[in-house]
Amino acid sequence: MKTRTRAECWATIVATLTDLLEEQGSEPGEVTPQTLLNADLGISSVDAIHLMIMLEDRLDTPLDFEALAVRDGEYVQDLALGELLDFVARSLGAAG
Amino acid sequence: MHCTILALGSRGDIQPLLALALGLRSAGFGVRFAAPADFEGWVRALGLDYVRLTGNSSGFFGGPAGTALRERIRDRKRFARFFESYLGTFLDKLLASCWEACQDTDAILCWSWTRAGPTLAEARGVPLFVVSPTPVLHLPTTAFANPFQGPGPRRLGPLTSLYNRATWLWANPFTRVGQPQVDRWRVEKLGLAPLHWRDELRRLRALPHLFGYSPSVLAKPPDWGPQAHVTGYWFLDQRSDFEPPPALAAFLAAGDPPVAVGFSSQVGREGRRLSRIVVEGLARSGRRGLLISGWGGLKDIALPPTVHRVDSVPYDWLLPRLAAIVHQGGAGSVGAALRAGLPSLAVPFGYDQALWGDRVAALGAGLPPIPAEKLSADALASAIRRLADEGRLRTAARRAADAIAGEDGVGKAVGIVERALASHRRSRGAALG
Repeated sequence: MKTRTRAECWATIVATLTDLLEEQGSEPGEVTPQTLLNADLGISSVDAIHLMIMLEDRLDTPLDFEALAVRDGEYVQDLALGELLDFVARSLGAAG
Repeated sequence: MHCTILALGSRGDIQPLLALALGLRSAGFGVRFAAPADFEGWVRALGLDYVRLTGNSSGFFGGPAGTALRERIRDRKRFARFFESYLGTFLDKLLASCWEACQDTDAILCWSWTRAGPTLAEARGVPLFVVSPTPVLHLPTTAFANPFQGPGPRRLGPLTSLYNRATWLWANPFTRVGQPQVDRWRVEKLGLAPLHWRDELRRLRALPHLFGYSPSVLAKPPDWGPQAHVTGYWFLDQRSDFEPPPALAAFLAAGDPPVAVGFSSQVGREGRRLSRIVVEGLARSGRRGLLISGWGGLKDIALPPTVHRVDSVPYDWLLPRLAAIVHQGGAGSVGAALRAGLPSLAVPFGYDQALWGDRVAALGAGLPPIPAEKLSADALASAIRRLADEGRLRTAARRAADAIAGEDGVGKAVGIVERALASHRRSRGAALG
């Protein structure tokens, strides 16, 4: 596992999202940290799990989906890409 | 009498349970079929009462998470990590939805991997049957090696039985996964004491088990005990009025019966590599080929004129029109191929698939499995030629078909459920009276 900057984490998230959506026959278009996984990109909770597994493979690091997506025993309704970025960066101990 | 079937897993797990549900209904049972949301349409189309269980099976198993589950289920530590990070809350919700689904029912038929069984039986106070299309992790045996974990089958002469029994030790940690969720459910929702996993395992093993595969393909091991029943396959007969797309009908009419190659949607990350191998293998075999492409990765690959591609076809319509079939070795595909008297080859991706592929080869009704990661175009081409040309494979496959035709798996399972319920009523009557 090598360290990555926030910018590299962001690039990996966008590339992974693009792959996931392409497989489903759509594309993300322009995304920002405010973009919502479900409301804006149509990513379901199962797809969010797929996204995290793909990120684990790409980043070669374990990610704890439940720590990100479960609050008080319930799955959160939606996640902004910025939250995902913060989470991935924290998990990797990313610099800058 | 009313029974509830708790059906989870992938399509291959659900389909035989639907056949069992229809059999129970024909025998006069009221049947409730509880399954994840994506199976609702299928269940209702068969006229069965449907209740929703948490989750989306095809969405889960068909994507990267399904692949991760399949790969990690072989490794205790990686699986425990995957489970804790991804599936803990899911199990909380699943157990709650299983409880809801089993209200006001006289018997529960529960798929083997849920961890809900012993607690449901205890809390609902009705007979519970573990139902499975394949052997289960919690019933070890000396007769064959654990197909899910460990190093797989080995031939070690007189030590083989001992070795087989030892391979099931690899399964033990997996029967413990989710213990915090099970205990939370018991204590917070059901007012029961926590249950040590060892006691739960003992209770689970003592429950009646119904296995929906043929004893002529994999005999019931003597060490499984009288509560386990290998009944014969639970075949769901699909649409008999299927009209093939014109291009498929034309292809089938244009020459010898083709060899089909089809894997489920669970091919995973290897989709592109595998698609190339399959198309090249079919082309090099020189035989007519039918590619059943339920998986992705085929977009940019040109097909030779000897190969036709379809997205999906009902197997009971298609199989009698083939020379042979290459599949991933799932219990259901193996059962369908043998029932049709069709030679086959398994290309296992994981789970129990190598076990079923080995059984086909042992019956002489096909070739020894080639694991997906070792598949090459040349190996596939040579296997396709042998499957299509070697008469002895077809003879053995027809012999297996005859044995299966003489069985009534659903009828046998229904009879066992009926007898168990009658004896439960008698013992309850005696206790009350």
